Formats: sequence, structure tokens, C-alpha cells
Amino acid sequence: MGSEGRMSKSAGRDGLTRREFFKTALSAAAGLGACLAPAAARGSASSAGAAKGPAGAALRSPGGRGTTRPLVLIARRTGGASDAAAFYKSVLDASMRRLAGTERIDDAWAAFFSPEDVVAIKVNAINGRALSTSPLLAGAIAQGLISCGVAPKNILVWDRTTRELEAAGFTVNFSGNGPLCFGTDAPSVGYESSPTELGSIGSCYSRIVTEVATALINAPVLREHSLAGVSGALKNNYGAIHNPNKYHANGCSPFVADVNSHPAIRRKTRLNVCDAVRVQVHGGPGYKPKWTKEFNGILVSTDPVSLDAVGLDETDKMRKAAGLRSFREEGRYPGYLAAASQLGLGVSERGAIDVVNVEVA
Amino acid sequence: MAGRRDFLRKLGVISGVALGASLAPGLSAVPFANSGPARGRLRPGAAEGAASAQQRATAQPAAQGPPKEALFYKKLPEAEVECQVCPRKCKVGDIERGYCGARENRRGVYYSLGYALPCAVHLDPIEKKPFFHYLPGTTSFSLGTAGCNMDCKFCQNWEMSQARPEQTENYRLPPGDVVEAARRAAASTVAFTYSEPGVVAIEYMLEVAALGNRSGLKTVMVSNGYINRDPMLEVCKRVGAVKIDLKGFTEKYYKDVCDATLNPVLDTLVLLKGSGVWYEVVYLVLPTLNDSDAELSSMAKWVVGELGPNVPLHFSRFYPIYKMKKLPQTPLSSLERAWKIAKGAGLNYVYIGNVPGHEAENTFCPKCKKPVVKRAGYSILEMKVARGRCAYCGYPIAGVWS
Repeated sequence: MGSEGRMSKSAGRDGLTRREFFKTALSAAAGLGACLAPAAARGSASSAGAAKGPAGAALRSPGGRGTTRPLVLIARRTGGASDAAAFYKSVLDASMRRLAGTERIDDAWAAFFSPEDVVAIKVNAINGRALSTSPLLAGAIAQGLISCGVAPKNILVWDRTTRELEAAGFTVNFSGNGPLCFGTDAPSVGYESSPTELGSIGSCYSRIVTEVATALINAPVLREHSLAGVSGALKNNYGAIHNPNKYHANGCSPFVADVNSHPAIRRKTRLNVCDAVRVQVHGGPGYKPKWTKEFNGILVSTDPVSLDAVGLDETDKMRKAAGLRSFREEGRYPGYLAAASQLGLGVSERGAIDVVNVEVA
Repeated sequence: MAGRRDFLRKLGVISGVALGASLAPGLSAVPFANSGPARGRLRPGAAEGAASAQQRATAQPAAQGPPKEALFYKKLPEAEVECQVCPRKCKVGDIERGYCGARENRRGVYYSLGYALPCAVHLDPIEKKPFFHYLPGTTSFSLGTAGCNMDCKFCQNWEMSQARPEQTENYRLPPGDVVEAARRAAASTVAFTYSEPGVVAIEYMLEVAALGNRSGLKTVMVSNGYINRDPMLEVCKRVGAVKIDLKGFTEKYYKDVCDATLNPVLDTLVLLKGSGVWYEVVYLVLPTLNDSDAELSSMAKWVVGELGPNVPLHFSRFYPIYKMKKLPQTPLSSLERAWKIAKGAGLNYVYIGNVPGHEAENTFCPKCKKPVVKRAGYSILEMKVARGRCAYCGYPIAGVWS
């Protein structure tokens, strides 16, 4: 049975059809202009500084730091073993407080999102349970969104296909009762009907990105990629286009940058939260246990380019520890980072990025 | 996704013949007869009536049973593979796909995801491929699967060629069912077409061809020719005819417009010349991009010199679509200019396509110059070829006529 069958069954059981959801979601999207205006005003008026806005917001002053340098948080738990859900929540909460410069966690989330938002969380589920974005991290993000007033029915955890999400341990949910979870391949969703041409690419984008969501959260995993070099936030948006297979030549550059230059991605992406609890440092993108290292942390930034640059740096450190050469030494340093920077998507120069390590006891 | 039984039932219902009985001969027996544009039969949109292939995405080939292991690939360390079907030689990591989007590495084993899952199934005149010198006047059971190893900005079938198999609405049609359905439809051939069968469907096509050959049902391939030598040799062993789209005659054009390279296509054409397989060449004329006198002249001279004067060469009219919506359709004058250049270079069989009613749709005897096949669009109006010879003067007319 295809996903359409599963969808119908689920919708019938839970009492809300896909059509109803999208009616709701799209209604919210239609009101985007009205919704975002007060939200943005609130953001700029708050002490947080990091406003609700596109990735370019990274160039503003997050956390009232008085600088335009982008900030990447590396949050790790220093304590011993604990419940994984609690771990994700604690490091995410700490990151959000630091990023927004507030003490209250709901205020921190409110600096980026408003109750009127329809928020789509793009996870990376391609590697099954072994090395995909943890559903627990997605759950912690959803909790944060709910804390600032985003309705659960207006939160969608998504990737390319529903099947991949299921295989990665996500609980598929088509109903309107809680955070939703399904792929672009779900009926009534799909891709745009004609390609958008941006620089080197021409792709049909997921309608989740272009039509359904008013705000995007990019929640990738961190891993080495044999062709792209490193796969983090920017590469994760290959899952938003219908033809990523066309764009793996030349280290995926400048294709990755061009994919991320879509106006919807630029305008709507408010936050990037990278699951780096386990990082594959070689042999990717497929899961290779022998090359997977425990990093036990997450990376958080409003700037996807900076996040990737820092993530690459951390991956390089682990590669060195494992006896591997660096990306530069192998001639595989991703050119798409500089290309993305040139497109104004963020900052790729490592020395121009502030990194703050957040340790949670 | 329509199952095999659904598909066959549909044939029976529309023809008014119960499943299992023979279909009445003629196009009306088949629901896909005389289709318009060669589009995939795409997944119906739930919310939008005019949804595209991508909007209609939900098919899950992987859920249809074990996928077919691909031919022509090499295993590499770290569960990587190197695809050896086409000149790209994609190095594909575990869980990744090649450029075509239809072949996937799963833990070091490469799979053909579109195997037995055509998204377009039509009964077409063989002239639509176009083949003008291969079994003219017959019908071809035509099918295509999602994916392509090029990305031509003018692709008329981009919704399937630039899609992945899970993004199109597919039939499940194993090789035996293809042959059976073609026979029921009284088709003379099975055509693998619409996308790039020589790459994305080579396993499927080779099996269909082998099965069909046992009972005299020939398979033909409509291809961009961007295929490596070894797989192409396998194709030549089994198919009855090949049509090659020669997109242009400069590397720049191939790179800029098709994201590919020219020389491998020329190699394929030379290989075909020596293979004994009937083949024809199509050249889609794009205004200002591949229609200069110099380029057309170089191309025509190369064809005459390397392939000989008897290769049919079709100049087709371009219509704006996909990533070339701002380019106007090909002026008739450009097509006629191309025709004259090719004739002047010494080619015997030059045609103008996508201009129904044009005189250059006809075949003329190279010796007596009389029209030996008169056509209107895809229809044969008059046939004056008997046993492969001009009915007027007896001169041999190149081709496979019966």
C-alpha cells in the first residue's frame, strides 16, 4: 500500500483530513503578511535582538551582543548519562536562552516565532534510525514552539518522504491534534508544478516550503558527505527539491548555495538546529558505524552558513583524532560555503563567526 | 499506482473485451491510443486539478517489492558504487542516487528503481518516435520510466524525465506483461521512449527485448545516445531499431543546454553504424542556439562522412517549454534551411518534423526523386516501397520495411 492509503486511514481515524489540515495551514499562510508584521515588531523591540526573520538575521545582533558577527552555539551536556529527551530539551533550551538573550524559555522562542506562525521543521531522515535527526530533538523544538504560542496543529515535522520519516523513528501524524509529521510526497502536498531557476539550479520546491509554512526551522544532522564534503544545514535543503540527484557534481557547489537562495528559504528560515549527538566523520552520507563519533551536542544558529562552517570545523577535529586528513588537505573543502556567503545567505569565513560553547550540567 | 491486473483490465474494459480475451485490432482497443504530448500518466493531484508530476508525487517503488539490481556498475570501498551505464560514471555513495535519479545505492548494491514501473504507456504510430524507415505504418506499444541522464532545458517530457520513479504515477508492468499487452494491442513493436531508456530502464528494456524477440515482437529504443559502449553493445544485440537525439553539434551546446557532452553521443552513433541495427537521427532545431549554418553544415558533413548518406535525419521544430519558455518556436525557414544544408551535404533522407503537412515529411527515392512514402503527420498516405525498393525505379530504399 502506498502512503496515500496510510494517509487516508490515519485521517479517518483521527478525524481531520489532510484537506482540512491544509485548509487550516494554508489559511494561516495566506495571512502571513498580517501575522508576521506584529511578530517582527515584537522581536525588534525585545532585548533579544535576533528577530523573527530570514537567515540573514544572523547578521544582526543576536542576544543583544552589540555585534553583527554571526553566532553559533555548540551546546553539550557535561553530566553523565540521562534521559535522551531530557538531554535534547536541556541543550536546546540553553541554546535558545543564549541565542535570544533571555532567561525565560518561552520568551526565547517568542523572539523568533509568533502564535500565528505555521512552522515547518525540516529534519534529515534519509539514514533511518542510525543517523537521522532525532525525533526527540524535533520534539524538543516543537515544545519550544508551543511554549511561545504556536498551535501544535501548525507545527509540521517533514522531510522528502513519509516512508523515510517512519523509518527514522518519527511518528507519522496527519491529524490536526498535535505536531504533524509527513513528507512532501504526502497527497495534497507535493512539489511546485514548475521549476524555479536560481543560478545553477532549476528545481521544483516542496510546497511545504513555498506555500504551507510561514516559518522554517532547519534541523539537519552533521556528517561527512563523500561528494559535498560536509552535510549540515545548507545541504539539508536538498530535501526540499525534487531533483537533488542533478546537483552533486563539483562538490555540490555552487548548487547547494543556489538551492538555499530560494526566496522562501531565505525569508522564512528563522533557526537552524543541527543534531550532532553522533557525527559521522567519514564514509558518508550512508551510515558507517566505524566512522561515527560521539559529539554529544547540538549546534544552533540563525545563520546556516556559519553553522555549517563551524560544523565542518568540528568534524575536521574529529577526523584528525581518527587519523584522517582534513577536508582542505583532501581538497574537499566545500566551495558552496563561500558561494552561499556571496549570495548573502550567511557568513562562511570561520574567523568572522563567534562560537559560544554552552555546557549544560 | 495501477497494478498489472488493473492495467490489463483497463485495456479490456475500454476495448469492450473482457480481461483474458484478445483485444480487437486497432488503436481504439488501447486507452493510450494516439496520445498527444508524450507525457507520463502522472499521479492525480488531490487538491489541484492541474497538478504536475511533482505535485502528484506519492508512488513508492520501494514498497512494490524488492527492486531490481542494476546492470553495469562497479562496487567500490565504503559501500560506494560507480555506475558504468553512461559517460557520467557517477560515483554513488550508500543511500544516494546517480544523476539520473532512477538508480540508487543501497549498502553497496546498485538498484534500478524504475524497473517494471513505467509512468507513461501509450500506443503510438511508429512515425511518432520518429521512425520513418522502420516498419512504417505500424503501431508501437510505447512506454517510459522516470529519470534521465541529461537535463535538457527544452525537454518536452520533463515531468517524467526529470522526476524520480517515486514522483510519478506508475504502472506495475513486468516484462512479460509488456509483451502480452503489446500483442493484445496488435503492436508491431515495443518502444522504450519518453525519457532515457538506455540508462534508466536498460535492465527492463533488455528483458522485454529478449522476451519479445522469442516471438518476433521487436523492441525499439528512443535515446539521447549518452550511453557507454558496453551497455550500448548489449542494447544492439537485442533491439530492432534505435533513434538517437543528436541535440546539437558543439560541446558548448551540450554543456549549456543539456548538461552533457557531445562526443559520447557521436561514439554511440558510430557504434550503431557498425552494429547492423537500424537507426535514425533527430536534430531538434533551437533558434539561435544550434541552428547556425556552420553548426548545421558541420553536423551534416559528419553524418555523411561517418555514418553514410542513408541515415534518416529529422529536423524537428522546437516548442517553448520547461526552462526554454522564452525562446520562440523554431521558424519554418530555419527548418527548411537545415533541410537544404543536409541535402546539400549528400544525405538522402532528410525530414522536417513537427510541421504536419510539410512536403519534407515525405520520403523521396534518391535516384528517380519520386515520393515513395507520402505522410501527413504520423499517418502514411501512400507507400510506394516494395520489398525495400522504389516502386517506380527499383532503387533500394534504406530501411526495414516489413
